[in-house]
Amino acid sequence: MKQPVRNLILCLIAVILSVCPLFGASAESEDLTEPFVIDLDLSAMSGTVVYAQVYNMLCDPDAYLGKVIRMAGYYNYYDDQAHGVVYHACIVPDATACCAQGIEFVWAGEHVWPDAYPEIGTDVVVTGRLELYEEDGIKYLHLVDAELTWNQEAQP
Amino acid sequence: MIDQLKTYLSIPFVQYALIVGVLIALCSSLLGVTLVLKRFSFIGDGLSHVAFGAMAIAGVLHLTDDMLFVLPVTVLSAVLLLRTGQNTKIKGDAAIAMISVGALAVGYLLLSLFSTSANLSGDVCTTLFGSMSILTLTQAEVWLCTGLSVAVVLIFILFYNKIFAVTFDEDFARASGIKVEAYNLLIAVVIAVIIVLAMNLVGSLLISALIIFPAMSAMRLFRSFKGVTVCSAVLSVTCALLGILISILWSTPVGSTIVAVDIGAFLIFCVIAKIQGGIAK
Repeated sequence: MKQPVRNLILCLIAVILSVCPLFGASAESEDLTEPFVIDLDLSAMSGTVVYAQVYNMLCDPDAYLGKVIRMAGYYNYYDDQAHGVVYHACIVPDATACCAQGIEFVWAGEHVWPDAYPEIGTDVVVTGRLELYEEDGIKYLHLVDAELTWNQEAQP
Repeated sequence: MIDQLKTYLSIPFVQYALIVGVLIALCSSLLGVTLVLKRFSFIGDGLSHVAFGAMAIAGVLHLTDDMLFVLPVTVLSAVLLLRTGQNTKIKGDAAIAMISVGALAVGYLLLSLFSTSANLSGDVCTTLFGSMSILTLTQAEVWLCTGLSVAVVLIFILFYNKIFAVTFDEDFARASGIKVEAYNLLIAVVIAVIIVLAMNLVGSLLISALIIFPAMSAMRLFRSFKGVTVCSAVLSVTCALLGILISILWSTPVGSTIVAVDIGAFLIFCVIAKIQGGIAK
């Protein structure tokens, strides 16, 4: 084998080997109870993939409607005083933290806002069925019959 | 970890990102060698800023497909930039610097004044650093990237000998009957296309890295134009793949991760070249 070609192969092996230890790292696993069958579990995915997945869900909702989705992010709300409605959302930031995607959710059961809800910025896990609804002629996505969980002691 | 990787690789938008990432890395590395040898390393930076400015104007004008506006503007700028240094009063490096910062400033100014986006800083960040663009491509954008990339590779293969001649000695090429101006124009157009494509992968601030690092790394070990080009292409594709995989596994920004892998590869190549030099002596 010619020396330059051998050098190229050796260099490529060196580049690949230098990043290989990263791929051997073990991922933390969570033991979460399963109240219903989850079609798409975003909570087990990396932030980059979750951000892109949520973006795709918002761009192509038809492919995801009716599916049960679990996602992890931080809690936020929007108090629409004009309509007297409070919208709750699970927000996922991108890797550069300059952009964020979020999905609105409707927590199943009776919960009084704001006392029963987490504080803004709390890490939450939301599981619910994705549905489309229309308001003032505009279509929105939200997770209905959602289960909301968060670590009560770790609020910001 | 391997199971997680398999899961990610089954997701369509990850597959799209890998396909487009590989194609862009391949295209940028092919022309990167020519640009480095012609002392035009920084033209990628200048053109990417022009593309940013054009994208800002397209956004302000609410153009649904900004590529139709950004591509011609970037091609025009590339032609103008490559023509400077010949018969113009403003020489090459100064012209690139002026167009580069000018376009960046005007683009941001227009976005600040006229953008209706709720997240201006997010839009700017995405354009400058690529952010998640590569993972949010539509099928149509993937096809467009694939088509343009195939065209760039075919042009490079078909005109390899002419590009080689123009790269090393324009006077000799001209004396040999090669239409140097026409091939410089062709190179300018191809560079502009690559820049516009690469904005999706690494963003406009990091495009130069895709063009320069693989070529410079290859030049540590290879001496022939063909050897450097092939090595540069293989290395660029490998680094892009590794960068995308690392970023999706560990939630790092895609563009800067690819560039970081390119830097690592450059350092490895430098060390090996140093060792080889030592052994040769």
